[in-house]
This record gives sequence, C-alpha cells and structure tokens, in this order.
Amino acid sequence: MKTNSLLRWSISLALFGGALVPALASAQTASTTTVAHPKLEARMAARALATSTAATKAIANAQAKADQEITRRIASLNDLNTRVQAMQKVTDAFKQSLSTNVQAQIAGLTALKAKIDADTDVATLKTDIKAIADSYRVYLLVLPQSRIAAAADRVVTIAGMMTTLGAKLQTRIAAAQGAGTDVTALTAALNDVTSKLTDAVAQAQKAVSTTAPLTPDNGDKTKAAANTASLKAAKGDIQTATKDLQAARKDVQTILAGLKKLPKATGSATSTAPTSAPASL
Amino acid sequence: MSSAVKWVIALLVVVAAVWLLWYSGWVKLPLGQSTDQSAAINQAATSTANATPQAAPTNGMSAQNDASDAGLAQDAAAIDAQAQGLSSDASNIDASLNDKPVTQAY
Repeated sequence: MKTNSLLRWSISLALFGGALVPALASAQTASTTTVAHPKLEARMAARALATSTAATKAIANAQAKADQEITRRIASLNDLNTRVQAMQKVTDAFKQSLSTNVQAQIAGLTALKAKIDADTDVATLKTDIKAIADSYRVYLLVLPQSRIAAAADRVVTIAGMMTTLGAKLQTRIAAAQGAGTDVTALTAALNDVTSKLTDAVAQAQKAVSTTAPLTPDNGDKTKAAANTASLKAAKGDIQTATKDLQAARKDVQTILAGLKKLPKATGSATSTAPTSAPASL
Repeated sequence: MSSAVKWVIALLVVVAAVWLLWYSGWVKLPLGQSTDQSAAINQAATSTANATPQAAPTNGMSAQNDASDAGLAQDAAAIDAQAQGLSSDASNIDASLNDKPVTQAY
C-alpha cells in the first residue's frame, strides 16, 4: 500500500516535473528574446538614418559642385559676350553669330543648373552632372575661339588708329622736309611703321581664318588635339601681331621725339585723311 | 437761296480750288515757301554737307586733320589705351586655353 502510494506520488511528481520544466524553460526563452529585439531594431534604425543622411549630404555636395562649375562658366561667357559686343572691325553678322553662340551656351547652362538644383535622386543627378562634362567640350572651344577673334579685332582697330596717326606724321615730316630739315631717319621710321602695321593685320586675319572654322570635338580625342593645336597657333599669330604693333609704337615715339626737336612752325598743322581704306577682318 | 449766300459759296469754292492748285504745286504763291522749294533747299544743304564729310574721331583719337603736337599726343595716348586692352585680350586667350573645370562629385 505504502509502496503503491509512493509509486503513485513519484509518477505524479515526474509527470508534474516533466510538464513544469519545459514550461519554465519556455518562459525563460521568451523573456530573453523580448529583451534582445529593441536593441537590434534601434541599431538598424540608426544605421538607416545615417545612410539616408549621408546620401542627402552627398547629393547636396554634388549639387554645390555642379552649381559652382556652371556659375563659373556663365560668368566667363557673359564677360565674353560683353567683349564681343565691343568689337569694331568685324561685320555685324559675324558679331551676331558669335553672340548667338555664346547666348545659347548661357541659356543651356542656366537650364541645366535649375534642373540639377531640383534633382532629388542620385541617378538623375548623375545624368545631369554628366551633361556638364559633355557641354564642356563646346565651352572649351567657344571661349578661346571667341577670345582670339576679339583680340584680332583689337589688333586691326589699333592698326587703323596708327594708320591715321601715320598720315598726320607724314604731313609733319613733309612740312619739316620742306623747311630744309633732314628727315631721313624720320621717314625710315615711318616706313617701318607701315610695314609693321601691314604684318600685324595679316597675322590677325590669319588667326581668325585658322580658328573660325573649328567645331566642337564631342569627345573625339584626335579632333580635340587638332583644335587645341589650331587655337595655340592662332594665339601665336596674335602674339606676333602684338609685337608688330609694339615695334610700330616705338617707331611712332621715335618720330614724335624727332619732330619735337624741330623748330616750331607757325600756324596750325593740318593733314589730309589717309587715302587707304581701314583694314577689317 | 439769297445772292449773298451764293456769293459766299462761290468764294469758298474758289479759295478751295486755289488751295488745291497750290498744294499740288501748280501754283507758286509769293507768300512763304512751297514745300518743293523747302525740299530743294534742304537737299542742297545736305549735298553741300556731304561734299566735305568730317568723320567723327573714334576711340579717343583727335580730329582726323589735326596734326598738331596736341593732336599727335592725344592719338598716341588713345593708341596706348587700346594696347592695354589688347594685353587684356591676350591674357583672356591664355586663361581660356588653360581653363580647368571644377571637379564634379559624381
């Protein structure tokens, strides 16, 4: 009897314990899982926020760089357009053609800047920033091409002014010669002025004829190299023209100094207008 | 219609006719000048002016027929000013040939 009771108690106890242990174990597992999830979720949320902030910052940085480049180019193109409008020796049609080209560049860049500033996703922004690089190929040609044309225009303008001055100097030299003064040196200097001015104008025209037909390379490296070579050659022509003008100016100074040493003539000096037509590009 | 009224109407018609003849140039009135005469005088004045054109000096140069010391000095100064501008143009050519774009982020 006691054994049966004992046995009965043992079995009951085993059954109870068998049910209790898993329940206790399950309860412990449940409590540990509930404690681990909030930390993980917080960590994941923080990581997502950091990634989003970094992406936003990267987009803003890219937009700022793009704006900087576009603003820089627009400023130099506006300056160029002002210079083009001040050109004196080219035809109005040529001036208008240059100006239209420059204005088109400015309009395109302005629209691109607005688009970039409104971009909110990286893919679109990348595409638009690539467009800056593509348009740079045109800018890289239009800017020096127009600057060379403006410089050539200035050379021809100065040559025209010095031709007018030369005619007046001729009048003064002739008057001095008529008064019996030896004007050999002055005449030689004036002849050199004429020679230098002729070459200066020729160099300026050569610079323009070399660069005017050039077209954008659109990424073609061979063409890009050829364009650069032509532009540099034209720059060399402008430098030669500048040296000619400087030499002519020195001759003018020699003549003016020589005239100052002559005895003063009575009455006002007048000259006739130069008979040769002013040079143009 | 009374005769006075008829006279007035007739007078108005005559005045109108004379005015039309004057306006069309058929009649030259001694008082004032006709439009044709004014036009002829203006044309003569213009022709006279054009016979000796005086081109306005540009870029700070003195008058085209002024070869005095002052005129020559003014011309030399004007040329020097343009030479400064040419120096600036040459610098701009160099800058454009050596242009470097801002490095882009993407």
